[in-house]
Amino acid sequence: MIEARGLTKRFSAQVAVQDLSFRCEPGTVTGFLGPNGAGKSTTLRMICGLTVRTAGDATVLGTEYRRIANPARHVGVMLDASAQHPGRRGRETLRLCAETIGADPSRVDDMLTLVGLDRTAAKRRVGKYSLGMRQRLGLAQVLLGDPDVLILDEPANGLDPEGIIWMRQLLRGFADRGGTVLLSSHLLNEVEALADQLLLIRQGRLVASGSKDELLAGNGTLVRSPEPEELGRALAGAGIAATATDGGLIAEAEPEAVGRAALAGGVPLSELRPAEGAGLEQLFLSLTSDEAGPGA
Amino acid sequence: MSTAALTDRSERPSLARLGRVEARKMVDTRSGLWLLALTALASLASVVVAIIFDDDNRDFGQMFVDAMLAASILMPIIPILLVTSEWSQRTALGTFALTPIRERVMTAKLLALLVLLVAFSVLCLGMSALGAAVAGTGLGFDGSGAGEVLLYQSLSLLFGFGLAAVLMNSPAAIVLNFVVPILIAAVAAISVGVQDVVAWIDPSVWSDLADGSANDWDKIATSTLAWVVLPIAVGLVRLRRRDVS
Repeated sequence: MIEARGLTKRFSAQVAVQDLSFRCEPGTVTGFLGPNGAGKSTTLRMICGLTVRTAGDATVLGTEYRRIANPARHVGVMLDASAQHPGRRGRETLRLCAETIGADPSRVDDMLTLVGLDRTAAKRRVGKYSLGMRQRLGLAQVLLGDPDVLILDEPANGLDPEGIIWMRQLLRGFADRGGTVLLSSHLLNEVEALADQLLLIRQGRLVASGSKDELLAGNGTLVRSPEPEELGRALAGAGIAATATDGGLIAEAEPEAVGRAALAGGVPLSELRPAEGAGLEQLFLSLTSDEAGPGA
Repeated sequence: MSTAALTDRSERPSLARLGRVEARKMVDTRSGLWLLALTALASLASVVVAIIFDDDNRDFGQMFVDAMLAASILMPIIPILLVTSEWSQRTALGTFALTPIRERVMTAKLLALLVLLVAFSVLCLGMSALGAAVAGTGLGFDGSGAGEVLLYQSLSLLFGFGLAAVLMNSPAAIVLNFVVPILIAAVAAISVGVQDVVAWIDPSVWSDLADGSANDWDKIATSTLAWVVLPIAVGLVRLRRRDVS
């Protein structure tokens, strides 16, 4: 569990993070979204005691991070995958970490296998790694201590589509076993399929938060029929407002209500689903674009 | 998990463990290995030169002292990089995430320097014993000068460590490591009055330890305060306040 209360960071005149409060529960993956420079990294660093807070406080597993005796045994932290010594070999990087936290040295090879870095890759110096390989090495490192919580800053950066799917499965499995995951991204589509909770920040302020379903509710239902006019009449008859979209309708109701209306009107449907992708993307853009926010 | 279990200090990685990790960091990168190799090479060269020129005065003890002094030219760069590479390579982000009490990392680095000093002393002892045997100058070693040269070596390492702790920047710390004695000499040359004052904070007084002529222990103490104790203290304060990114 991660909890932040009123986290604030000011650099002389500039406010990087303003009064940020949120909770991440065990068993969930929380996506921390916002454009570059919104204060995501600063927030994560404040949680881990690397950046001094101006105000507010944060706890991980109910304890201030700095006070945890051997943090990596409980919290896996990856704040920048490229912040590794380029002259050190991949495997050695993990062995140093294992030695520091007192993890069983055999876990080094287990984790390398888990993240898909083979013997050849593990022997190479990190300076020769692609960003995607560094992300894999970083994930291996955070998992070394068998933690309950993961805090990851832009973990999908540099991963290819296949790597993103792999990481999604890894983190989903971690959360399903009761772990807590907080990961940041400036790209919606990286976390969309993975996160079940979302935090959206812009210019250091929280602009939206909640479960993905909550945030998407009110975005309507996409419905298609080979008989669009009949469908329109059926929806109108049920008192459901709808607007036309390419080849279908966005109905302002839950899929079940739309389905019942179609059934009542005897209209065949070819598609019926929450208007998801476009909705979240729209939300993200409207919340994070310069035109939309309170500061505009 | 309860807070008490999370914060139980017996779970904390020991300083010995952290010291081992820091010692390992000195040798597990390409740059670190080169630096160590060059330092060892300087010591080896001093022994070889002693053999070639076959000076009878260069017995085991003298060869050891010379080998240690040859090492002390480059050796302060090792503690400098041990501290500053955390910032230049940005590994501080990981290091202080694993060990949030930052002073512990610095203490561990000091322990690693002790390991370095012991390891190099053993290496120099071995090389000079071999050298003395080859040169036939005798293996007698009355230990005179060995304590002083070890103190000199320690002060040189701590001087570099202190500069690195304050500056947190590799080029600046390396340059100052070599330039500070020159600058102080230049300032001292202004007038005799200035020289008398500057002499109290001049680290070049440490080199008296190297040639066994040390008698100005007051000045050795004050310059150690100025160039070892003060920089490390200021560096620790800076480190506690610094945002790691």
